Amino acid sequence: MEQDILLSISRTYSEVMPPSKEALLLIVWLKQKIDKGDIEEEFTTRDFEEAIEDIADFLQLDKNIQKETLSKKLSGYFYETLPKGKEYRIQLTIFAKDFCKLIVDRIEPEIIQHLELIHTFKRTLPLDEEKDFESIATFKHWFDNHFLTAQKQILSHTEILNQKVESRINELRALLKPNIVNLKELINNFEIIFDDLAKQATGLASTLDFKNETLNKIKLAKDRFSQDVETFNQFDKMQRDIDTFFQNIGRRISAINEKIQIASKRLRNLLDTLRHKQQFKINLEKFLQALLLNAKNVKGEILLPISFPRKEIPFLQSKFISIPKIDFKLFNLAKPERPELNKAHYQKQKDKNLSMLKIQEQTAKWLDKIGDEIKTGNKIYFEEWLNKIVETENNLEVPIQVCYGLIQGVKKDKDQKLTIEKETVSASKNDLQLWKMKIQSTRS
Amino acid sequence: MENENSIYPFLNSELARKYFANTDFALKQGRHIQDYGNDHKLFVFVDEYYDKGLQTYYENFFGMKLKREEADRYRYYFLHFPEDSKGKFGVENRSKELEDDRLIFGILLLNLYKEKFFEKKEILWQELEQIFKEGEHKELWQQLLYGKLKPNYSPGEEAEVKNKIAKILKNFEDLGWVCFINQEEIHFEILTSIDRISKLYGDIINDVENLKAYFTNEQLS
Repeated sequence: MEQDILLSISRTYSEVMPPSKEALLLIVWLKQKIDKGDIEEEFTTRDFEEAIEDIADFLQLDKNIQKETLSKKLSGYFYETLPKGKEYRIQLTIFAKDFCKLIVDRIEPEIIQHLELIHTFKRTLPLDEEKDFESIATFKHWFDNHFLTAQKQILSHTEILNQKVESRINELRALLKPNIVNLKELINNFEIIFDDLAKQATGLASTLDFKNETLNKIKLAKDRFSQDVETFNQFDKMQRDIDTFFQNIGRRISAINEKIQIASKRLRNLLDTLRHKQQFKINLEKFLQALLLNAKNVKGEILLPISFPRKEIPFLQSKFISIPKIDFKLFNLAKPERPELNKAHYQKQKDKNLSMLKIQEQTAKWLDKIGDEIKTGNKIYFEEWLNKIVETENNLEVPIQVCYGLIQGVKKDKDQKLTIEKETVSASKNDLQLWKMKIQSTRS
Repeated sequence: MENENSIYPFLNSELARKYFANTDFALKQGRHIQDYGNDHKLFVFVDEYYDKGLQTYYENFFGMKLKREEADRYRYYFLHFPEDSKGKFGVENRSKELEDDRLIFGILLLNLYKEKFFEKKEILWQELEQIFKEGEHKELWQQLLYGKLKPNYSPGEEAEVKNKIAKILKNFEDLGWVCFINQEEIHFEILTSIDRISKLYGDIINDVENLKAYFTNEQLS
């Protein structure tokens, strides 16, 4: 349902709005002529055509405006043709008149510009406590005929004032541009303008007082309308509407006031430093442009050339860095490379290890055997055992390890005694020489 | 202790008991302290004791300068490296380079700050968008932000750029250069201390006629 209105507007858009600058000027011009009494309210076709010619002259158009086309486009919403006696007359519609008023008030609010907002308040919101609070009906009359009407005017006044301040501030920005002639004079002119705005700001303060005063009067009248629920509800609703509106106006006035104050203050301080500010601003803009020209977007990252000097700032990070959560499903599993196997080397190492293992096993067996002999009380003459071991094992590694093991065993066991005589005994084989070595148990 | 306190009188103060720790943390994290918002109390403390031992404290114990600067008649404070040294901030993880994207946005904000000389320094996202889409250097901005020039960008591309800028602004907020009014809508105020970037890069800004010299090598960082 809400879309119905959009549908209607989209269909009639080209007719409900003036189709060109010429058309808009024509309607406004006709309205002005009627207001001044230059043409009648119901004007003639000749008046209409003359008005078109006026606009063409005003716009200094070389070619003529297509009167028929223009007339056809405006005839729906902006004027109607009425029979008057034997001839036809043209009359602007109410829509056309309201439309003109809206445009003129917005573009050139001359009257309002020269009045302080307080004037609009005082003119539109007079509240006679005796008469207006006499009954709920009289208060409603004030609400409908004074307050609601005033609402539009007050809002319009604040909007215009805000726009005026904004445009003045925009003009002020031009002061920061270089090569301005008669700078001091220009600043002086602005000071006059802003003094005027400052006066308006003072007026805004009294407007706020007046607004509060009106609101307080209404709030104090509450008891007069408490006789029954219906009356009170009616009063309460109106009071809340007024309150909400005043709050809105209060915020607008404060914002405008603040803008005026900031700009006026800045303006006063400007003259001393203006030249420097202008130069600095130019340099800054050139620098920014150079940065933009030389920077590049590389995979979403903005980077400058390596030759550009970077500046550092102190930065002691006191936060813990969160470890990123990595979803391993998103990563390809990389299999480790298997090493190449050198079979010959592998076999050689394997044989070597097996041989060492065998030596250790045999050494342990011989040590156990000799250990048993010692326990039974027999004396061990190692040169004899050596020959036996060499013959059985067919290598020298085992007997040497056994000899070493026996000596270590004696060191640990207090019940064994080792006697070495430095008399060389030659082994039958292997060109091996050793001293006589005897181990015996000391246990009785 | 008595002797120390005469060199650093701020240590005896009630304000130091309340605000020194937070001020110290803030300064070491690169924050610029000014009379604004939550930093008001820290500013009052630094402003009061700057010449009463606070400046000497950072110089003697950290080899750093506690600097006071002024822009538009408002003061702000920050820690700065002394000439040819970085004091105790010379070791790893105690300083950082101002990243390239931060520098470019910093200069943009400083420019806007100067432009708004006569008004409040509030910026809405729409204003930034206007610079990127309709401004004098719109092509350069778009090339830089989106990585390519197109008549229209997809909602995804727009969101990505907006996020990128929000992140930079958040970083600036930590440094005390801007203050968010509404972070979600990217509505913020540029603060006085944005002026620091003009001090940091003052040598280049005041030497704009030789800008080419700074961009000789085309290889990117």
